Amino acid sequence: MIMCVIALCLGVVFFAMYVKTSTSPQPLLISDIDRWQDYNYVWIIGKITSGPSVSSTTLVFYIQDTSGANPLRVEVYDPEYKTLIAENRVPTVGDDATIFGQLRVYIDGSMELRVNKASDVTINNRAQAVPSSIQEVKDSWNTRQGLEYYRRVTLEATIVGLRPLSSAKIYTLEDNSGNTIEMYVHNGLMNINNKSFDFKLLQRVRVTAGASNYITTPQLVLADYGDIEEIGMQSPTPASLDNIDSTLVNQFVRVGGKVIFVEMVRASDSLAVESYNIWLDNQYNPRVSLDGDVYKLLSDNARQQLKRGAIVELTGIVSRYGSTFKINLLGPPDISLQSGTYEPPLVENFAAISSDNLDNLVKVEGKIIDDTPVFEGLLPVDHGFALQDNFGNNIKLFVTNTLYERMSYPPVVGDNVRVVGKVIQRESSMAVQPGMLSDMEEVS
Amino acid sequence: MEGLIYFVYALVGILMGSALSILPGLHIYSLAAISIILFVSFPSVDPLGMAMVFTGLLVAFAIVNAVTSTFMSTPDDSLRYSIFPNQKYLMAGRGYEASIIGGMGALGAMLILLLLAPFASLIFPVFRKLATPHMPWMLIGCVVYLLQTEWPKDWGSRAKTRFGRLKDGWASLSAGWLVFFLSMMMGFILLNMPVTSLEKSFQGAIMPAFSGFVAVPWVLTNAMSKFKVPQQNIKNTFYVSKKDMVRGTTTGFLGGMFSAYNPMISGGVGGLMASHATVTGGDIQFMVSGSAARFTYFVGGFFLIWVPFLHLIRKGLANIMVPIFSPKSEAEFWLFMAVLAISAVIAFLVLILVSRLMSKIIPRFSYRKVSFCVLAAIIALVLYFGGWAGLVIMVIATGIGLTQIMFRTRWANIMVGYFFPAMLSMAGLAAPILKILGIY
Repeated sequence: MIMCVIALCLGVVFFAMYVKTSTSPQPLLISDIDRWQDYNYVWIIGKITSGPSVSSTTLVFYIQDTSGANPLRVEVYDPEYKTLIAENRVPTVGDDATIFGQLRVYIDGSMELRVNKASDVTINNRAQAVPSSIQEVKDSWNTRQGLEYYRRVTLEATIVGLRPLSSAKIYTLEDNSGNTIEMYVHNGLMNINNKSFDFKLLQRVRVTAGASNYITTPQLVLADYGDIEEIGMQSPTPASLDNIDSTLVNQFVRVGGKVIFVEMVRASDSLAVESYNIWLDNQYNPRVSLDGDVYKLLSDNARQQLKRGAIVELTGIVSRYGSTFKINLLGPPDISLQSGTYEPPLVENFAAISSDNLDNLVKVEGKIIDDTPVFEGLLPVDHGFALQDNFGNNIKLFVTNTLYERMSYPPVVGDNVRVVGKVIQRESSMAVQPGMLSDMEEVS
Repeated sequence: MEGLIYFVYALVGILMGSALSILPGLHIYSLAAISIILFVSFPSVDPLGMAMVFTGLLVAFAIVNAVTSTFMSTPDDSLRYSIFPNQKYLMAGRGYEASIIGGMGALGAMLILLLLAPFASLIFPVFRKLATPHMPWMLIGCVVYLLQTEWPKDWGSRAKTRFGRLKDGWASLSAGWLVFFLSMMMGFILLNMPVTSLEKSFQGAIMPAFSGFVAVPWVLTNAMSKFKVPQQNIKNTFYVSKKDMVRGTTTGFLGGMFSAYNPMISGGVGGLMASHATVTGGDIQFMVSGSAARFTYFVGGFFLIWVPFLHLIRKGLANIMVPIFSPKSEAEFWLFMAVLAISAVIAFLVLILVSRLMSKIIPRFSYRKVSFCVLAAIIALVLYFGGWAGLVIMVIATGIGLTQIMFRTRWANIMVGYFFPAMLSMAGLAAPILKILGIY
């Protein structure tokens, strides 16, 4: 009997506590999360500061609360995230949201909140887009306090660059005053509405995106491919390669010509290609530089065509390095190509190649009689082949590891080869350095 | 005060649970299946209200089902731990007393749970953090402990040779290993490949297996014995000391909570280990701790999903409830605790009424006939939930259960053996064995 009475009394007390606490969920402040809360189920109430990014299995966004702690990564898994998409409830930057999920707190201090059900994501207040400008967004990074910065903005700008990452693309937008800001576009956004995203360099666009940040730099985050529309096209300055001058620096120009040489510029710490230098018409014209990541944005067909002899027309931005001008082909690459051929003059006697020929294009043919490795730290070696002509003269054939490791059948001592390359100087003697795989061929 | 409606939901659950609990051989997993049927039948019911129906159902089962164990000798795996004293009391005409003492144990465990509730969100998340990385070897350690701590049985005479004495010493141990091995093989098969038809698959394997392991062998031995249930005394005074009550309840709570928290450890196994740890002795302590362990095992496992920050899904009913309702707030936790407290008191009152009724009815029937009726009821339930394949599983499991009784080895070996494959799976060690068996 006593136990029953105690149980009934406790039951009444607990019911009173239910009545007292049933008004709203009790959120945990992100700043209060510690290692002991690993696996805990918690409520987080705050503002979405970044995202969404979508993969085949996961939707990710970030939420920050008033505690001032760094934003918390939130993951929603398949199929629940698809429910969010279907119900048009994907959280975007600026939304006020309440999230319930399981915390993971890792030993390195990183944290994430795993949401098990789509119903555990509640958007309390969907951010409404406000007209803005690049300048206003950048200024507000310093002037707006805390969470107020994160909001949806609509602005007009021109696409002046693209930097591809493994899972996203970073577009550079520029307004009429020359102010620029980066816009993060996750590749997985196609999963949200199956729309394509094919915007070109110098297109003018009206974009509605979240005002977010990358570390300490303001950045826009696109939430939906449908949030961007074309409103016009900016024309590049027509120019010819032989009259590029300082007045064109930092301007987009439209140039064309015949490719006479393409050289791969290797990265310093890997076998990756950092950039491609394209020689157009002759060796004196400003070279066109194409970043390795932008090169990957070219179609397979364009990549195959981009070699000696191709006729190209492209849009790039002029830059200056000392007294040398350069045209940078930025992404999204605006380039048209037509196949063609170009062969530099054949040098039959290697004794004719001297320091006067530095940076000239030459074609040489001979037999490989030696292969001297050139060590490159932890990377595979470069190869200094000794090439002998029919007159018994030798010249060094310098093949970088970046090129050599891409060869299906690399040359060996005894092979007869024909090589197109630029003349360089190595250890006080002249050498020929091929630019791409197609510059070397084995001959019988 | 709109929250009061949830007590009505719970009352529905209590009444249903009490009625179902009188069915011999009904297992908690059968109750889970009934819960699903309930939800499917009433999809528009408030999910929280349905969760309260489940709460009432579970609490009633955890308390009232003790009646079948005392008066019909059909324990489930968690009650098997305390069945011996209950039988003794029944034969002494004190079945009602045994039943109520058990109920008091359950109420005591419930009081501890209530007192623990305000601190639960602080204690259990930390415990989870500590225990999660070590779970596989902890569980395997429990199995090794159970297998190797079985004391050699006294077979009546001391063998004359050293070899004979060695053989006697190892007889129970090796029989325990045999039972464990057979049960484990059955677990490998039933837990990893579909044996029953798709529509029976939820209950198909586990419920018939458990009925065969525990309930059927016990009913069969009762049916073969020729004893008669004596006239039962119904009195309102019980000889339970405070010491027995406190010790039994705390021991039972400890074991029950251990098994509630850890996957694959049944209430009986937890209770056994806790009684070893606390050196529990005497019939009263045994009955009280057994009921307390059983209550904590069932209700404590369900309680874990409600604890703020923890929301740990353990045991059958929590798994069933998650698709319907997932507790998320502190308010829901307090509501659950309030409903739990009131439900337990009501279920205890039902237990008193039903025990009184049983005490009057049971002596009028032949115990053998009652046993056969119970057996028929179990077979009917197994057929209903598992089909013919379920019946075959039950027969095989009964063989293992009878082996355990015949060799007087520990029944817990069956339970841990059955779930041992799942423990190996948690440790990432099950796949090679499944390959050898041709299952994987």
